[in-house]
Amino acid sequence: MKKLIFIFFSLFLILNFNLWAITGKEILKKVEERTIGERAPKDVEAIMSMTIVSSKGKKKIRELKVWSKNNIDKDDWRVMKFLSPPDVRNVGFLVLSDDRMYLYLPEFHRIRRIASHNKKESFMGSDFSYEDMGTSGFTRFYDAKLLSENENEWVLELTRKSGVSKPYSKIKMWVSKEIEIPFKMELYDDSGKLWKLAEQEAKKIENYWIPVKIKMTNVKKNSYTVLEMKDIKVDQGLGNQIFTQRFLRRRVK
Amino acid sequence: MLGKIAEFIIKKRWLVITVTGILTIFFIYQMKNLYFENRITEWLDKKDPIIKLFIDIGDKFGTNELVMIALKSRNGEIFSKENLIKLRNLTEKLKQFKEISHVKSIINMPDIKRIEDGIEVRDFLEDIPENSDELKKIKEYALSKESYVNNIISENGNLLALAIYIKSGEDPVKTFGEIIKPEVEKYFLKVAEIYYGGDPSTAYFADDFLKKDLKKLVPIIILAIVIILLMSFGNARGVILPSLVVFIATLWVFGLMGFMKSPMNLITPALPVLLIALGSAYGIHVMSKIFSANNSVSNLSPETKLKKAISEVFVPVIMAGLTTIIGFCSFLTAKFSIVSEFGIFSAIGILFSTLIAIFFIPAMYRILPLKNINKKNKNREKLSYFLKKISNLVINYPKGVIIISLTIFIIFILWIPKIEKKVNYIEYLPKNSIPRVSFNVIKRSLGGAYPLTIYFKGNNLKSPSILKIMRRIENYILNLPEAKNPFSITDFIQEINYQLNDWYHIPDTYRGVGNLWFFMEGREELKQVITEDFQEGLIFSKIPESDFKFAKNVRDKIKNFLEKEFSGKFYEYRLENLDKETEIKLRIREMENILDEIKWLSEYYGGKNSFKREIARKKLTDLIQNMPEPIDEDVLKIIDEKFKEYIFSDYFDFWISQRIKNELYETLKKEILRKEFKTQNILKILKKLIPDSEYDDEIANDVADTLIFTINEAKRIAFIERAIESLGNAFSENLLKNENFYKKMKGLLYEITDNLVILKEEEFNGIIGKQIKLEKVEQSGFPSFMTRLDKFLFTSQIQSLLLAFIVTFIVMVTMRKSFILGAISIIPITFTLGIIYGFLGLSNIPLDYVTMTIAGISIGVGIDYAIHLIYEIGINVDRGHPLIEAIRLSYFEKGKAIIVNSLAVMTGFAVLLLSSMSPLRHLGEVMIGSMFLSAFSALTILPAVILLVKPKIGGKK
Repeated sequence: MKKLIFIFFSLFLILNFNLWAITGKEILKKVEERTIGERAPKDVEAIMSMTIVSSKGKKKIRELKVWSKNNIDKDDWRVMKFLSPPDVRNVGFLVLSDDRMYLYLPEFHRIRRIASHNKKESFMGSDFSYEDMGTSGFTRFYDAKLLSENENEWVLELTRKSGVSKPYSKIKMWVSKEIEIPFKMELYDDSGKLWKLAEQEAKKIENYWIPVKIKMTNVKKNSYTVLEMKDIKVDQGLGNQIFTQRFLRRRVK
Repeated sequence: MLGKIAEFIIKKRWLVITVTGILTIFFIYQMKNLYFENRITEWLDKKDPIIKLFIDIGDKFGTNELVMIALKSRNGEIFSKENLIKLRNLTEKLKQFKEISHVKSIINMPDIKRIEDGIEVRDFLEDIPENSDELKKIKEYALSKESYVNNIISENGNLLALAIYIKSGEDPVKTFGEIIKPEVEKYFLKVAEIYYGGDPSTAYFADDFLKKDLKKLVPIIILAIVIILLMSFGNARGVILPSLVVFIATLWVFGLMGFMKSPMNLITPALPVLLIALGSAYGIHVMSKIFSANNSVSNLSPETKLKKAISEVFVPVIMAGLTTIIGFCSFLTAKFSIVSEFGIFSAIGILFSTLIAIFFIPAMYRILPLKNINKKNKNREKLSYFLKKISNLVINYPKGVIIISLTIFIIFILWIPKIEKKVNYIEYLPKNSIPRVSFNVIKRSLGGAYPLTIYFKGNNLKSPSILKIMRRIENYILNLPEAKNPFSITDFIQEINYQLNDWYHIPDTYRGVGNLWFFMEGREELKQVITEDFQEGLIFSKIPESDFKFAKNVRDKIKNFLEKEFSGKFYEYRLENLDKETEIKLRIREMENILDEIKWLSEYYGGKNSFKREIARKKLTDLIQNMPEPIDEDVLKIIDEKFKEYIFSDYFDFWISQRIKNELYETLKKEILRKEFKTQNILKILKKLIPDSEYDDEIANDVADTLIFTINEAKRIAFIERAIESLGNAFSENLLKNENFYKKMKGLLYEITDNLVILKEEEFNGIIGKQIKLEKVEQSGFPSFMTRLDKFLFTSQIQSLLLAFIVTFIVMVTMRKSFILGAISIIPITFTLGIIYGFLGLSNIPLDYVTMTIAGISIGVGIDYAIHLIYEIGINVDRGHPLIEAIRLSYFEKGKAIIVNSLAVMTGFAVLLLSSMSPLRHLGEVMIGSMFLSAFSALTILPAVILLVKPKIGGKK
């Protein structure tokens, strides 16, 4: 009898207290694994086009070549070089960590460090900030809570940890269950108002799901920017020499 | 015909009363749509090119609707942590409103500064310091920034400012009243004195004063008229019926304004006063005629007497109304919508008064018990005595009356040229009012709040040539004492260039500008000075005064400068690949333009006589003719440093050992001394020294480019160092110690050495320049706007005066069917206006938006007295009286009405003396005089002239 009660009680606990239910933190970790972790490409080379559309509907298009290297458990590295428009061709941008960013201005033959404060500033007049263009992950800076789910997606709420210097106080994230990558994010400012909306489409390239199109809408300004990636190459064994100031000075081909 | 009209009015009296009642209810309902519009920018014709440009610039750059807020701590330091946090929160809060285009305060002013190996472009107070020492340091840093002081922080640091730009298309006064003011007060009312500046805020407070004026003046004028009517007629009907006329007419006019959504404004408080004062005349004349007919000895029934009175008063009242309407219609030619609309609604109000007086009074009188009213009015008896004295004087001494009048007239008209025009809106408000006090604070400490802009339109304003032209104009404006803190896109570019590359100048290539632009893209403040497509841009500055003379002075200076600058087109010359002789000549030619800018900067930073241009010219010419060469010792020293910095750095393009680097460095130095430093030779050296495994043609070309760039840079640096050394005695000592001047001057000297020259010559020394595509450069903002206003004021005044005079004359000639009689009719108003305008010149009462209505009102109203008197004289002549007797009788029959009427009107205008706005008070003062003179001259000069000229008067008309 006692044994029966114990079994019954255990079953009751298992069924009712969802001991095996996934948590927000776990989902976020899955996302990070796909984007900057072990299940992310070791490196990526691609052509990126950036279309900036103002609140008045005016369009500006920039084209860049990007290289990135996934340093697991460390900061990812990135190099971006402009292909167009002509007045910024060969302008290069190197990110080694949150506070080590460099800019190369070819007309002046000079490399300059960008200050960490600049991360909140708009990147090239787009709706992405320097911060948004970085790859610092989420779990270090946000607590995640699972708000809801259905058969296709999880909806997470990320709340900024105290003492953390990140521009978004809260992020609402829709994560695809199939590919474990966010397809939509609502980014909130310090006063809790919706600031930006990020929507992305991913594509499978070799074994990886990679965001190939990201649309960032600035809800307050009513403008948006679309990043599109093409000619994507992954896991090419990109050497460390690419992620140097020396390489930053190279002309883009 | 007149009999039939009278018959209709009496027979259909209930219809008349009912229609009047229905219309009154309708118009009262429409009054809910009434609103104020006191922005000066809304008063002018938007099709006018200057006004259109002003508005277009506002649309594109969000610059016209600017509200300046200045904050001064009530207790302690404004630059405290608590206040800065409040200011940050307020700045962020305001930015969230859709009505607001952008907000600038010390929190988010762009701060471009050098950091270790790099540059930072950030908002000035992204992080607010915690302790007082840091706060003190940051405050000192803010006070050292030229673009901040007298802009968003006062020179003594006691005032912080917010510049709030309201989006074009939004209601700025409403935005100020419902959003800006409440938000600012929410954060700062308890801790700081708040000062408000800018057109939207001035208009907001003006609305407030005007609402109070309306609430105050209207009851007073009603009371005043009631008293006059009581004194004149001494019975209830004599008071109530004319009062009803004006009351109803006023309600109809305001209802019509509401129905047509026509705004109320600065002049509006004059409207009910005017309508009540002037409109009462028609009621008075009708009542006077009715009472006179009633009191006449005859066998006619009271109803017949009433009909007879209507018939007899119909024409003169209509004529009087018509001429007054014409007087007001003369305002239609005014270029100010507030004046033309005032004219329209006043004319409509008079029309309403006339029709209501003619139709409604008799209809109402008829429904009341008809009776004879024989009560003697003691006041009217006093009037009779006075009129008797006047009539005797005029009849007995007509020539004397005319001579004296003419003499007085001539004396006064000599003062007319002394009349001043004044369109300084802020001075209309009471002295201790918030806007006036704020205006003085903001003017004194923060450079003022009235925008002055120079508008540019071209193919691409990021072109270095256009930017240099822009910068040149900006430096000129900087030197103008009347304009404050000019800024444009050139300031951002030059500052970034300075922080990045040590030189405060515009790069000489499009790619150079493009590279620097990278840092600025997306910053909010760019929207204020350049459009997204880079085709339109502004130099934005402020003037501290809204006074017309001041504004015109600035405007004229800039206009003359721009006319001279842009008397021809601009051409650019590139110096690469030119022979040395041509290059030198071009640089020397360009030097003159550079010296202009250095002169303006010197005068701004060091005062007049702080720069000796001739000395500078000679020294620079000499230096240009002997440009530094790589083998010069000073140049070599710089090259040496820079080569080391490059070759031995981690980012040197070839990954080679220290030994090879050393060898490369030494070999390159020798190459320089051989004077063979060309790309091919460098490539040969690199090919020889760089290991094959590392060598790459493309990288080698990049290295060669960098080395040649470095050498050119070294030559420029050497030139500037030499220039500064030799120009020492061309500048006053204090001038060179000024960091901002020094930075800018060095930048200008750098431009002498770069490869871009801009001249007005299409061809130079056989070289053809490339035309710079700059489509338009035009001044806009308040100075242009105010100058336009002034021109409109003057032309509107003249047009209004002439139109009123001419049309009135034509009407009089037509009505009287006599040219002579028509001419005589306008003598009293001519006399009146001569005295009045002479008085304006004598007493320094200025001509402004309100006082310009004097002519139209005076003519329209003043002519009434002449009409009534001449008409009455005609009636008496038709009755068989000789001229003198006819005149004497007219004095008693019409004279009383004229005096009562003029008293009523004068009382009405006297009420305006209680207005809080000075133009309305001035209008009141002058119109009292005008009405007195119109009546007096109608009772003296007019009959005197008639007696002397003896025109054909009377006969059926």
